[in-house]
Amino acid sequence: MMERQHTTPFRERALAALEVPALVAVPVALVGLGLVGVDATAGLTLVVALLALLLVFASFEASRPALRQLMPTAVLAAAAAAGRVLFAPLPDVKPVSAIAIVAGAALGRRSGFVVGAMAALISNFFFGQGPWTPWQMYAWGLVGYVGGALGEKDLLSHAPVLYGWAFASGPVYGLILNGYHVLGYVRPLTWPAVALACAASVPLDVVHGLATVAFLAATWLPWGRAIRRVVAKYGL
Amino acid sequence: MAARPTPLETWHATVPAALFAGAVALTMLAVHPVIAALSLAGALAFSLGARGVRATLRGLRWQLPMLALVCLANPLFSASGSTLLLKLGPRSVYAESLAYGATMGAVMVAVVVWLEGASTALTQDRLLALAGRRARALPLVASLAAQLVPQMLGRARTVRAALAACTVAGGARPTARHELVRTSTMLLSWSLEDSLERSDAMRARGWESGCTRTSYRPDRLRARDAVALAALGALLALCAACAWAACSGWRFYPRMTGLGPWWRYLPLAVLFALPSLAAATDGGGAPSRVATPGAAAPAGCGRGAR
Repeated sequence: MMERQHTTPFRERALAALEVPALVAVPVALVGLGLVGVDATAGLTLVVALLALLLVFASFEASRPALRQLMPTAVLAAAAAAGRVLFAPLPDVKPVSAIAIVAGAALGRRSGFVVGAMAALISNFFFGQGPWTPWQMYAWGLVGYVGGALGEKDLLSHAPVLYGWAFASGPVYGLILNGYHVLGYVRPLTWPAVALACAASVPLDVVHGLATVAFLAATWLPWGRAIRRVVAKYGL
Repeated sequence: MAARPTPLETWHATVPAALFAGAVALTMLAVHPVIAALSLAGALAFSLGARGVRATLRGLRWQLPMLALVCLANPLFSASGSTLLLKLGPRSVYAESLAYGATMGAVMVAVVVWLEGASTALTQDRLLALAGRRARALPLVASLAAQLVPQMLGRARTVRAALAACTVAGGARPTARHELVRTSTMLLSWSLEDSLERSDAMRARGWESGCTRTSYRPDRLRARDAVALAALGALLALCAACAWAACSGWRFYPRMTGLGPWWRYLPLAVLFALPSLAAATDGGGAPSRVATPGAAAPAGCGRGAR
Protein backbone atom coordinates (compact mmCIF):
# COMPACT_ATOMS: atom_id res chain seq x y z
CA MET A 1 0.00 0.00 0.00
CA MET A 2 2.95 2.35 -0.51
CA GLU A 3 1.11 4.02 -3.39
CA ARG A 4 -1.65 5.12 -1.04
CA GLN A 5 0.65 7.37 0.89
CA HIS A 6 1.89 9.06 -2.27
CA THR A 7 -1.57 10.05 -3.49
CA THR A 8 -2.12 13.74 -3.09
CA PRO A 9 -5.40 14.13 -1.26
CA PHE A 10 -5.75 17.51 -2.97
CA ARG A 11 -5.88 15.86 -6.42
CA GLU A 12 -8.40 13.34 -5.19
CA ARG A 13 -10.54 16.07 -3.62
CA ALA A 14 -10.33 18.32 -6.69
CA LEU A 15 -11.34 15.49 -9.02
CA ALA A 16 -14.19 14.50 -6.71
CA ALA A 17 -15.43 18.10 -6.63
CA LEU A 18 -15.33 18.29 -10.44
CA GLU A 19 -17.38 15.11 -10.98
CA VAL A 20 -20.83 16.69 -10.74
CA PRO A 21 -20.00 19.81 -12.86
CA ALA A 22 -18.49 17.52 -15.54
CA LEU A 23 -21.58 15.28 -15.57
CA VAL A 24 -23.87 18.33 -15.77
CA ALA A 25 -21.75 19.95 -18.51
CA VAL A 26 -22.62 17.20 -21.00
CA PRO A 27 -26.38 17.86 -21.35
CA VAL A 28 -25.76 21.61 -21.07
CA ALA A 29 -23.25 21.49 -23.96
CA LEU A 30 -25.58 19.25 -25.96
CA VAL A 31 -28.61 21.51 -25.63
CA GLY A 32 -26.60 24.73 -25.96
CA LEU A 33 -24.65 23.77 -29.08
CA GLY A 34 -27.66 22.03 -30.64
CA LEU A 35 -29.97 25.01 -30.20
CA VAL A 36 -27.38 27.51 -31.42
CA GLY A 37 -27.11 25.28 -34.50
CA VAL A 38 -23.37 24.60 -34.60
CA ASP A 39 -22.76 22.15 -37.47
CA ALA A 40 -20.17 20.12 -35.58
CA THR A 41 -22.46 19.61 -32.55
CA ALA A 42 -22.24 15.82 -32.88
CA GLY A 43 -18.43 15.92 -32.73
CA LEU A 44 -18.05 18.69 -30.15
CA THR A 45 -20.54 17.22 -27.69
CA LEU A 46 -18.86 13.84 -28.12
CA VAL A 47 -15.62 15.50 -26.99
CA VAL A 48 -17.42 16.95 -23.92
CA ALA A 49 -18.94 13.53 -23.12
CA LEU A 50 -15.52 11.86 -23.46
CA LEU A 51 -13.95 14.48 -21.18
CA ALA A 52 -16.68 13.91 -18.56
CA LEU A 53 -16.07 10.14 -18.77
CA LEU A 54 -12.32 10.67 -18.44
CA LEU A 55 -12.76 12.94 -15.42
CA VAL A 56 -14.93 10.49 -13.48
CA PHE A 57 -12.59 7.64 -14.44
CA ALA A 58 -9.62 9.72 -13.24
CA SER A 59 -11.45 10.37 -9.99
CA PHE A 60 -12.05 6.61 -9.63
CA GLU A 61 -8.31 6.02 -10.27
CA ALA A 62 -7.33 8.75 -7.79
CA SER A 63 -9.40 7.13 -5.05
CA ARG A 64 -6.95 4.19 -5.38
CA PRO A 65 -9.43 1.37 -4.82
CA ALA A 66 -7.85 -1.76 -3.38
CA LEU A 67 -7.74 -4.88 -5.52
CA ARG A 68 -10.44 -6.61 -3.49
CA GLN A 69 -12.71 -3.61 -3.94
CA LEU A 70 -12.11 -3.63 -7.70
CA MET A 71 -13.19 -7.22 -8.16
CA PRO A 72 -16.92 -6.73 -7.37
CA THR A 73 -16.91 -3.73 -9.74
CA ALA A 74 -15.53 -5.89 -12.56
CA VAL A 75 -17.95 -8.73 -11.79
CA LEU A 76 -21.01 -6.45 -11.74
CA ALA A 77 -19.89 -4.72 -14.96
CA ALA A 78 -19.53 -8.13 -16.61
CA ALA A 79 -22.94 -9.23 -15.24
CA ALA A 80 -24.56 -6.09 -16.67
CA ALA A 81 -22.89 -6.59 -20.06
CA ALA A 82 -23.82 -10.30 -20.11
CA GLY A 83 -27.40 -9.41 -19.12
CA ARG A 84 -27.64 -6.94 -21.98
CA VAL A 85 -26.40 -9.62 -24.39
CA LEU A 86 -28.83 -12.23 -23.00
CA PHE A 87 -31.82 -9.87 -23.23
CA ALA A 88 -30.86 -8.53 -26.66
CA PRO A 89 -33.88 -10.17 -28.39
CA LEU A 90 -36.29 -8.04 -26.30
CA PRO A 91 -35.91 -4.38 -27.32
CA ASP A 92 -35.44 -1.97 -24.42
CA VAL A 93 -35.61 -4.73 -21.82
CA LYS A 94 -32.10 -4.59 -20.41
CA PRO A 95 -30.84 -5.09 -16.86
CA VAL A 96 -27.89 -2.66 -17.21
CA SER A 97 -29.54 0.27 -15.39
CA ALA A 98 -30.74 -1.99 -12.57
CA ILE A 99 -27.29 -3.53 -12.07
CA ALA A 100 -25.64 -0.08 -12.23
CA ILE A 101 -27.99 1.11 -9.45
CA VAL A 102 -27.27 -2.01 -7.36
CA ALA A 103 -23.53 -1.43 -7.89
CA GLY A 104 -23.82 2.25 -6.94
CA ALA A 105 -25.74 1.34 -3.79
CA ALA A 106 -23.37 -1.46 -2.75
CA LEU A 107 -20.00 -0.04 -3.84
CA GLY A 108 -20.39 3.75 -4.01
CA ARG A 109 -21.19 6.28 -6.72
CA ARG A 110 -17.89 6.08 -8.61
CA SER A 111 -18.10 2.28 -8.82
CA GLY A 112 -21.72 2.66 -9.97
CA PHE A 113 -20.53 4.95 -12.74
CA VAL A 114 -17.72 2.58 -13.74
CA VAL A 115 -20.09 -0.43 -13.78
CA GLY A 116 -22.61 1.37 -16.04
CA ALA A 117 -19.94 2.76 -18.35
CA MET A 118 -17.94 -0.47 -18.61
CA ALA A 119 -21.09 -2.51 -19.23
CA ALA A 120 -21.93 -0.25 -22.20
CA LEU A 121 -18.38 -0.40 -23.56
CA ILE A 122 -18.02 -4.17 -23.23
CA SER A 123 -21.48 -5.16 -24.42
CA ASN A 124 -20.92 -2.99 -27.50
CA PHE A 125 -18.16 -5.41 -28.53
CA PHE A 126 -21.13 -7.73 -29.19
CA PHE A 127 -23.49 -5.13 -30.68
CA GLY A 128 -21.04 -2.87 -32.50
CA GLN A 129 -19.05 0.17 -31.40
CA GLY A 130 -19.90 3.56 -32.83
CA PRO A 131 -20.22 7.23 -31.98
CA TRP A 132 -23.06 6.17 -29.66
CA THR A 133 -20.70 4.18 -27.37
CA PRO A 134 -19.47 7.17 -25.28
CA TRP A 135 -23.08 8.36 -24.95
CA GLN A 136 -24.29 5.00 -23.71
CA MET A 137 -21.29 4.88 -21.37
CA TYR A 138 -22.17 8.33 -20.06
CA ALA A 139 -25.91 7.61 -19.75
CA TRP A 140 -25.55 4.29 -17.92
CA GLY A 141 -22.65 5.66 -15.89
CA LEU A 142 -24.90 8.52 -14.81
CA VAL A 143 -27.64 6.06 -13.79
CA GLY A 144 -25.13 4.22 -11.57
CA TYR A 145 -23.64 7.47 -10.25
CA VAL A 146 -27.01 8.87 -9.17
CA GLY A 147 -27.90 5.45 -7.72
CA GLY A 148 -24.69 5.56 -5.71
CA ALA A 149 -25.25 9.15 -4.59
CA LEU A 150 -28.76 8.24 -3.41
CA GLY A 151 -27.38 5.15 -1.67
CA GLU A 152 -24.70 7.19 0.12
CA LYS A 153 -27.45 9.43 1.51
CA ASP A 154 -29.29 6.27 2.61
CA LEU A 155 -32.27 7.15 0.43
CA LEU A 156 -32.45 3.83 -1.45
CA SER A 157 -33.91 2.09 1.60
CA HIS A 158 -37.11 4.01 0.80
CA ALA A 159 -38.91 2.04 -1.88
CA PRO A 160 -40.42 5.10 -3.64
CA VAL A 161 -36.95 6.65 -4.11
CA LEU A 162 -35.42 3.35 -5.28
CA TYR A 163 -38.15 2.49 -7.77
CA GLY A 164 -38.67 6.14 -8.68
CA TRP A 165 -35.07 6.48 -9.85
CA ALA A 166 -35.20 3.01 -11.46
CA PHE A 167 -38.19 4.11 -13.52
CA ALA A 168 -36.81 7.57 -14.26
CA SER A 169 -33.54 6.05 -15.49
CA GLY A 170 -35.37 4.81 -18.64
CA PRO A 171 -36.51 8.27 -19.80
CA VAL A 172 -33.17 9.81 -18.70
CA TYR A 173 -31.25 7.28 -20.79
CA GLY A 174 -33.66 7.79 -23.70
CA LEU A 175 -33.42 11.59 -23.49
CA ILE A 176 -29.62 11.52 -23.57
CA LEU A 177 -29.42 9.09 -26.50
CA ASN A 178 -32.23 10.76 -28.49
CA GLY A 179 -30.97 14.22 -27.61
CA TYR A 180 -27.56 13.33 -28.98
CA HIS A 181 -29.08 12.15 -32.24
CA VAL A 182 -31.61 14.95 -32.76
CA LEU A 183 -29.43 17.82 -31.55
CA GLY A 184 -26.29 16.46 -33.20
CA TYR A 185 -27.54 15.04 -36.47
CA VAL A 186 -30.69 16.91 -37.56
CA ARG A 187 -30.36 20.34 -39.25
CA PRO A 188 -31.96 22.85 -39.31
CA LEU A 189 -33.35 22.05 -35.88
CA THR A 190 -36.92 23.07 -35.09
CA TRP A 191 -38.91 22.62 -31.90
CA PRO A 192 -41.51 20.40 -33.61
CA ALA A 193 -38.65 18.12 -34.72
CA VAL A 194 -37.35 17.83 -31.14
CA ALA A 195 -40.87 17.21 -29.80
CA LEU A 196 -41.56 14.61 -32.52
CA ALA A 197 -38.36 12.71 -31.76
CA CYS A 198 -39.02 12.73 -28.00
CA ALA A 199 -42.64 11.67 -28.46
CA ALA A 200 -41.62 8.83 -30.77
CA SER A 201 -39.33 7.36 -28.11
CA VAL A 202 -41.65 7.77 -25.10
CA PRO A 203 -43.12 4.21 -25.33
CA LEU A 204 -39.63 2.69 -25.64
CA ASP A 205 -38.32 4.73 -22.69
CA VAL A 206 -41.30 3.73 -20.56
CA VAL A 207 -40.65 0.06 -21.40
CA HIS A 208 -36.99 0.57 -20.44
CA GLY A 209 -37.99 2.23 -17.15
CA LEU A 210 -40.53 -0.48 -16.30
CA ALA A 211 -38.03 -3.22 -17.18
CA THR A 212 -35.48 -1.58 -14.86
CA VAL A 213 -38.06 -1.48 -12.04
CA ALA A 214 -38.90 -5.15 -12.67
CA PHE A 215 -35.23 -6.21 -12.70
CA LEU A 216 -34.52 -4.21 -9.56
CA ALA A 217 -37.62 -5.56 -7.76
CA ALA A 218 -36.55 -9.11 -8.61
CA THR A 219 -32.85 -8.80 -7.78
CA TRP A 220 -32.60 -6.11 -5.06
CA LEU A 221 -33.02 -8.52 -2.13
CA PRO A 222 -31.32 -11.73 -3.41
CA TRP A 223 -28.40 -9.86 -4.99
CA GLY A 224 -28.01 -7.66 -1.93
CA ARG A 225 -27.92 -10.81 0.18
CA ALA A 226 -25.34 -12.44 -2.13
CA ILE A 227 -23.10 -9.35 -2.02
CA ARG A 228 -23.43 -8.99 1.78
CA ARG A 229 -22.63 -12.69 2.20
CA VAL A 230 -19.40 -12.34 0.23
CA VAL A 231 -18.54 -9.16 2.13
CA ALA A 232 -19.01 -10.99 5.46
CA LYS A 233 -17.26 -14.18 4.34
CA TYR A 234 -14.13 -12.44 3.07
CA GLY A 235 -14.16 -9.59 5.57
CA LEU A 236 -14.15 -6.83 2.93
CA MET B 1 -8.55 -20.76 -41.89
CA ALA B 2 -5.22 -19.14 -41.07
CA ALA B 3 -5.40 -16.21 -38.66
CA ARG B 4 -5.08 -12.81 -40.32
CA PRO B 5 -1.93 -10.91 -39.47
CA THR B 6 -2.43 -7.86 -37.25
CA PRO B 7 -2.23 -4.80 -39.51
CA LEU B 8 0.24 -2.03 -38.60
CA GLU B 9 1.97 -4.41 -36.21
CA THR B 10 5.40 -3.09 -37.14
CA TRP B 11 4.59 0.25 -35.52
CA HIS B 12 4.33 1.10 -31.83
CA ALA B 13 0.66 1.05 -30.75
CA THR B 14 0.64 4.84 -30.35
CA VAL B 15 1.07 5.28 -34.14
CA PRO B 16 -2.10 3.41 -35.24
CA ALA B 17 -3.93 4.81 -32.18
CA ALA B 18 -3.09 8.40 -33.22
CA LEU B 19 -3.91 7.64 -36.85
CA PHE B 20 -7.34 6.18 -36.12
CA ALA B 21 -8.17 8.74 -33.43
CA GLY B 22 -7.26 11.55 -35.85
CA ALA B 23 -9.34 10.05 -38.66
CA VAL B 24 -12.36 9.55 -36.38
CA ALA B 25 -12.07 13.02 -34.82
CA LEU B 26 -11.82 14.76 -38.21
CA THR B 27 -14.75 12.73 -39.53
CA MET B 28 -16.94 13.61 -36.55
CA LEU B 29 -15.98 17.28 -36.33
CA ALA B 30 -16.07 18.16 -40.05
CA VAL B 31 -19.67 18.02 -41.27
CA HIS B 32 -18.93 18.22 -44.99
CA PRO B 33 -20.14 15.86 -47.73
CA VAL B 34 -16.75 15.51 -49.46
CA ILE B 35 -14.88 14.86 -46.21
CA ALA B 36 -17.52 12.34 -45.08
CA ALA B 37 -17.31 10.53 -48.44
CA LEU B 38 -13.49 10.48 -48.35
CA SER B 39 -13.52 9.15 -44.79
CA LEU B 40 -16.08 6.44 -45.60
CA ALA B 41 -14.05 5.38 -48.66
CA GLY B 42 -10.83 5.26 -46.61
CA ALA B 43 -12.49 3.32 -43.80
CA LEU B 44 -13.99 0.78 -46.22
CA ALA B 45 -10.67 0.37 -48.07
CA PHE B 46 -8.86 -0.34 -44.78
CA SER B 47 -11.61 -2.69 -43.63
CA LEU B 48 -11.48 -4.63 -46.92
CA GLY B 49 -7.73 -5.08 -46.53
CA ALA B 50 -7.58 -5.72 -42.79
CA ARG B 51 -10.81 -7.60 -42.11
CA GLY B 52 -11.52 -9.13 -45.51
CA VAL B 53 -14.34 -8.77 -48.02
CA ARG B 54 -16.75 -11.06 -46.20
CA ALA B 55 -16.52 -9.37 -42.78
CA THR B 56 -16.81 -5.91 -44.36
CA LEU B 57 -19.90 -6.88 -46.38
CA ARG B 58 -21.45 -8.52 -43.31
CA GLY B 59 -21.01 -5.22 -41.45
CA LEU B 60 -22.46 -3.20 -44.33
CA ARG B 61 -25.61 -5.32 -44.13
CA TRP B 62 -26.66 -3.34 -41.03
CA GLN B 63 -24.58 -0.22 -41.61
CA LEU B 64 -26.19 0.70 -44.97
CA PRO B 65 -29.76 0.57 -43.54
CA MET B 66 -28.49 2.73 -40.66
CA LEU B 67 -27.11 5.23 -43.18
CA ALA B 68 -30.46 5.26 -45.00
CA LEU B 69 -32.31 5.74 -41.71
CA VAL B 70 -30.19 8.72 -40.63
CA CYS B 71 -30.47 10.13 -44.18
CA LEU B 72 -34.28 9.87 -44.26
CA ALA B 73 -34.74 11.02 -40.65
CA ASN B 74 -33.43 14.51 -41.44
CA PRO B 75 -36.04 15.56 -44.07
CA LEU B 76 -38.79 13.97 -41.95
CA PHE B 77 -37.81 15.85 -38.80
CA SER B 78 -36.81 19.07 -40.40
CA ALA B 79 -37.94 20.31 -43.82
CA SER B 80 -35.70 22.99 -45.22
CA GLY B 81 -33.93 23.82 -48.47
CA SER B 82 -34.70 25.22 -51.88
CA THR B 83 -34.81 22.21 -54.23
CA LEU B 84 -38.16 20.48 -53.71
CA LEU B 85 -37.93 16.78 -54.53
CA LEU B 86 -41.34 15.46 -53.49
CA LYS B 87 -44.18 15.97 -51.06
CA LEU B 88 -45.06 13.27 -48.55
CA GLY B 89 -48.44 14.29 -47.22
CA PRO B 90 -47.94 17.52 -45.29
CA ARG B 91 -44.13 17.25 -45.37
CA SER B 92 -41.91 18.47 -48.18
CA VAL B 93 -38.66 16.66 -48.93
CA TYR B 94 -35.89 18.93 -50.12
CA ALA B 95 -32.65 17.80 -51.75
CA GLU B 96 -30.56 19.87 -49.30
CA SER B 97 -32.23 18.29 -46.29
CA LEU B 98 -31.67 14.84 -47.77
CA ALA B 99 -28.02 15.67 -48.53
CA TYR B 100 -27.46 16.79 -44.93
CA GLY B 101 -28.96 13.52 -43.68
CA ALA B 102 -26.83 11.51 -46.12
CA THR B 103 -23.71 13.34 -44.92
CA MET B 104 -24.51 12.62 -41.26
CA GLY B 105 -25.31 8.99 -42.12
CA ALA B 106 -21.98 8.69 -43.93
CA VAL B 107 -20.22 10.24 -40.91
CA MET B 108 -21.85 7.72 -38.57
CA VAL B 109 -21.09 4.69 -40.76
CA ALA B 110 -17.53 5.90 -41.44
CA VAL B 111 -16.87 6.17 -37.69
CA VAL B 112 -18.29 2.67 -37.13
CA VAL B 113 -16.15 1.19 -39.93
CA TRP B 114 -13.04 3.04 -38.66
CA LEU B 115 -13.64 1.62 -35.16
CA GLU B 116 -14.07 -1.89 -36.58
CA GLY B 117 -10.82 -1.49 -38.52
CA ALA B 118 -9.05 0.00 -35.51
CA SER B 119 -10.02 -2.99 -33.38
CA THR B 120 -8.10 -5.30 -35.75
CA ALA B 121 -4.95 -3.17 -35.51
CA LEU B 122 -5.25 -2.30 -31.82
CA THR B 123 -5.89 -5.63 -30.18
CA GLN B 124 -6.88 -5.73 -26.53
CA ASP B 125 -3.36 -6.29 -25.23
CA ARG B 126 -1.98 -3.42 -27.33
CA LEU B 127 -4.71 -1.12 -26.00
CA LEU B 128 -3.95 -2.13 -22.41
CA ALA B 129 -0.25 -1.46 -23.00
CA LEU B 130 -1.25 2.04 -24.18
CA ALA B 131 -3.07 2.72 -20.92
CA GLY B 132 0.26 3.36 -19.25
CA ARG B 133 1.32 2.58 -15.74
CA ARG B 134 -0.35 5.41 -13.88
CA ALA B 135 -3.84 4.07 -14.62
CA ARG B 136 -4.07 0.71 -12.91
CA ALA B 137 -7.60 0.24 -11.66
CA LEU B 138 -9.60 0.91 -14.84
CA PRO B 139 -7.57 -1.16 -17.34
CA LEU B 140 -7.81 -4.01 -14.83
CA VAL B 141 -11.60 -3.64 -14.44
CA ALA B 142 -12.02 -3.38 -18.24
CA SER B 143 -9.92 -6.42 -19.08
CA LEU B 144 -11.39 -8.51 -16.27
CA ALA B 145 -14.97 -7.61 -17.18
CA ALA B 146 -14.34 -8.26 -20.89
CA GLN B 147 -13.07 -11.74 -20.08
CA LEU B 148 -15.78 -12.43 -17.52
CA VAL B 149 -18.64 -11.85 -20.00
CA PRO B 150 -18.08 -15.00 -22.11
CA GLN B 151 -17.31 -16.95 -18.91
CA MET B 152 -20.60 -15.79 -17.36
CA LEU B 153 -22.60 -16.59 -20.49
CA GLY B 154 -21.10 -20.10 -20.42
CA ARG B 155 -21.71 -20.51 -16.69
CA ALA B 156 -25.32 -19.37 -17.09
CA ARG B 157 -25.82 -22.38 -19.38
CA THR B 158 -24.09 -24.66 -16.84
CA VAL B 159 -26.26 -23.41 -13.95
CA ARG B 160 -29.47 -23.75 -15.99
CA ALA B 161 -28.51 -27.25 -17.13
CA ALA B 162 -27.72 -28.31 -13.55
CA LEU B 163 -31.01 -26.91 -12.25
CA ALA B 164 -32.95 -28.56 -15.07
CA ALA B 165 -31.29 -31.88 -14.30
CA CYS B 166 -32.35 -31.75 -10.60
CA THR B 167 -35.75 -33.33 -11.01
CA VAL B 168 -35.69 -35.25 -7.69
CA ALA B 169 -37.69 -32.64 -5.81
CA GLY B 170 -40.40 -32.83 -8.44
CA GLY B 171 -43.22 -30.34 -8.17
CA ALA B 172 -44.24 -27.64 -10.56
CA ARG B 173 -41.71 -26.09 -12.91
CA PRO B 174 -40.41 -22.77 -11.59
CA THR B 175 -41.69 -19.67 -13.32
CA ALA B 176 -39.44 -17.82 -15.74
CA ARG B 177 -39.00 -14.99 -13.22
CA HIS B 178 -38.09 -17.37 -10.41
CA GLU B 179 -35.64 -19.22 -12.62
CA LEU B 180 -34.05 -15.96 -13.79
CA VAL B 181 -33.56 -14.66 -10.25
CA ARG B 182 -32.20 -18.01 -9.08
CA THR B 183 -29.76 -18.40 -11.97
CA SER B 184 -28.55 -14.80 -11.82
CA THR B 185 -28.05 -14.87 -8.03
CA MET B 186 -26.08 -18.11 -8.26
CA LEU B 187 -23.97 -16.69 -11.07
CA LEU B 188 -23.32 -13.53 -9.06
CA SER B 189 -22.24 -15.42 -5.93
CA TRP B 190 -20.09 -17.81 -7.97
CA SER B 191 -18.38 -14.97 -9.86
CA LEU B 192 -17.88 -12.81 -6.76
CA GLU B 193 -16.27 -15.61 -4.77
CA ASP B 194 -14.16 -16.56 -7.77
CA SER B 195 -13.04 -12.99 -8.26
CA LEU B 196 -11.94 -12.61 -4.63
CA GLU B 197 -9.88 -15.76 -4.87
CA ARG B 198 -8.41 -14.37 -8.08
CA SER B 199 -7.53 -11.14 -6.31
CA ASP B 200 -5.75 -13.12 -3.58
CA ALA B 201 -3.84 -15.03 -6.27
CA MET B 202 -2.86 -11.73 -7.88
CA ARG B 203 -1.67 -10.31 -4.55
CA ALA B 204 0.35 -13.46 -3.97
CA ARG B 205 2.13 -12.71 -7.25
CA GLY B 206 3.06 -9.21 -6.17
CA TRP B 207 0.14 -7.07 -7.33
CA GLU B 208 -0.32 -4.02 -5.07
CA SER B 209 3.05 -4.72 -3.43
CA GLY B 210 3.89 -1.09 -4.07
CA CYS B 211 6.74 -1.56 -6.53
CA THR B 212 6.95 -2.23 -10.24
CA ARG B 213 6.38 -5.93 -10.79
CA THR B 214 8.12 -6.07 -14.13
CA SER B 215 10.20 -3.86 -16.33
CA TYR B 216 9.39 -5.92 -19.41
CA ARG B 217 7.78 -3.79 -22.06
CA PRO B 218 6.05 -5.67 -24.88
CA ASP B 219 5.81 -2.51 -27.00
CA ARG B 220 8.88 -0.35 -27.51
CA LEU B 221 8.84 3.21 -28.86
CA ARG B 222 11.69 3.42 -31.38
CA ALA B 223 13.10 6.29 -33.42
CA ARG B 224 11.03 5.41 -36.48
CA ASP B 225 7.85 5.43 -34.37
CA ALA B 226 8.71 8.87 -33.00
CA VAL B 227 9.36 10.16 -36.54
CA ALA B 228 6.09 8.63 -37.75
CA LEU B 229 4.21 10.24 -34.84
CA ALA B 230 5.73 13.65 -35.58
CA ALA B 231 4.88 13.36 -39.29
CA LEU B 232 1.38 12.21 -38.42
CA GLY B 233 0.93 15.16 -36.07
CA ALA B 234 1.94 17.56 -38.84
CA LEU B 235 -0.43 15.86 -41.31
CA LEU B 236 -3.28 16.00 -38.79
CA ALA B 237 -2.66 19.72 -38.18
CA LEU B 238 -2.69 20.37 -41.95
CA CYS B 239 -5.87 18.29 -42.32
CA ALA B 240 -7.55 20.17 -39.46
CA ALA B 241 -6.72 23.51 -41.13
CA CYS B 242 -8.04 22.30 -44.49
CA ALA B 243 -11.18 20.84 -42.91
CA TRP B 244 -11.79 24.10 -41.04
CA ALA B 245 -11.45 26.10 -44.30
CA ALA B 246 -13.68 23.64 -46.20
CA CYS B 247 -16.40 23.65 -43.52
CA SER B 248 -16.46 27.42 -43.03
CA GLY B 249 -16.98 27.96 -46.78
CA TRP B 250 -19.60 25.23 -47.20
CA ARG B 251 -23.36 25.84 -46.83
CA PHE B 252 -26.11 23.20 -46.94
CA TYR B 253 -29.00 25.66 -46.66
CA PRO B 254 -30.72 27.21 -48.47
CA ARG B 255 -28.67 25.92 -51.40
CA MET B 256 -25.54 23.77 -51.30
CA THR B 257 -22.60 26.07 -52.19
CA GLY B 258 -18.98 26.73 -51.40
CA LEU B 259 -17.14 23.53 -52.30
CA GLY B 260 -13.86 25.44 -52.67
CA PRO B 261 -10.72 24.33 -54.54
CA TRP B 262 -10.09 20.58 -54.93
CA TRP B 263 -6.60 20.69 -53.41
CA ARG B 264 -8.13 21.61 -50.08
CA TYR B 265 -9.29 18.01 -49.75
CA LEU B 266 -5.97 16.48 -50.79
CA PRO B 267 -4.40 16.23 -47.27
CA LEU B 268 -7.63 14.66 -45.97
CA ALA B 269 -7.63 12.13 -48.82
CA VAL B 270 -4.02 11.27 -47.94
CA LEU B 271 -4.88 10.89 -44.23
CA PHE B 272 -7.86 8.62 -44.88
CA ALA B 273 -5.88 6.51 -47.38
CA LEU B 274 -2.88 6.28 -45.04
CA PRO B 275 -4.05 3.31 -42.90
CA SER B 276 -4.63 1.16 -46.01
CA LEU B 277 -1.31 2.24 -47.57
CA ALA B 278 0.59 1.63 -44.33
CA ALA B 279 -1.04 -1.79 -43.88
CA ALA B 280 -0.30 -2.74 -47.50
CA THR B 281 3.37 -1.80 -47.22
CA ASP B 282 3.70 -3.35 -43.76
CA GLY B 283 6.42 -5.88 -43.16
CA GLY B 284 9.25 -3.52 -44.03
CA GLY B 285 10.36 -3.21 -40.43
CA ALA B 286 10.70 -5.49 -37.48
CA PRO B 287 7.59 -5.80 -35.29
CA SER B 288 7.61 -3.39 -32.40
CA ARG B 289 6.59 -6.22 -30.11
CA VAL B 290 9.92 -7.86 -29.39
CA ALA B 291 11.20 -9.47 -26.26
CA THR B 292 13.31 -6.68 -24.83
CA PRO B 293 14.08 -6.98 -21.19
CA GLY B 294 14.20 -3.42 -19.96
CA ALA B 295 16.35 -1.84 -17.33
CA ALA B 296 16.99 -3.48 -14.02
CA ALA B 297 14.17 -3.64 -11.52
CA PRO B 298 13.76 -0.52 -9.37
CA ALA B 299 15.83 -0.49 -6.23
CA GLY B 300 14.19 -1.77 -3.09
CA CYS B 301 11.94 -4.29 -4.79
CA GLY B 302 14.19 -7.28 -4.37
CA ARG B 303 14.63 -10.23 -6.66
CA GLY B 304 11.02 -11.26 -6.57
CA ALA B 305 10.10 -8.19 -8.54
CA ARG B 306 11.76 -9.45 -11.69
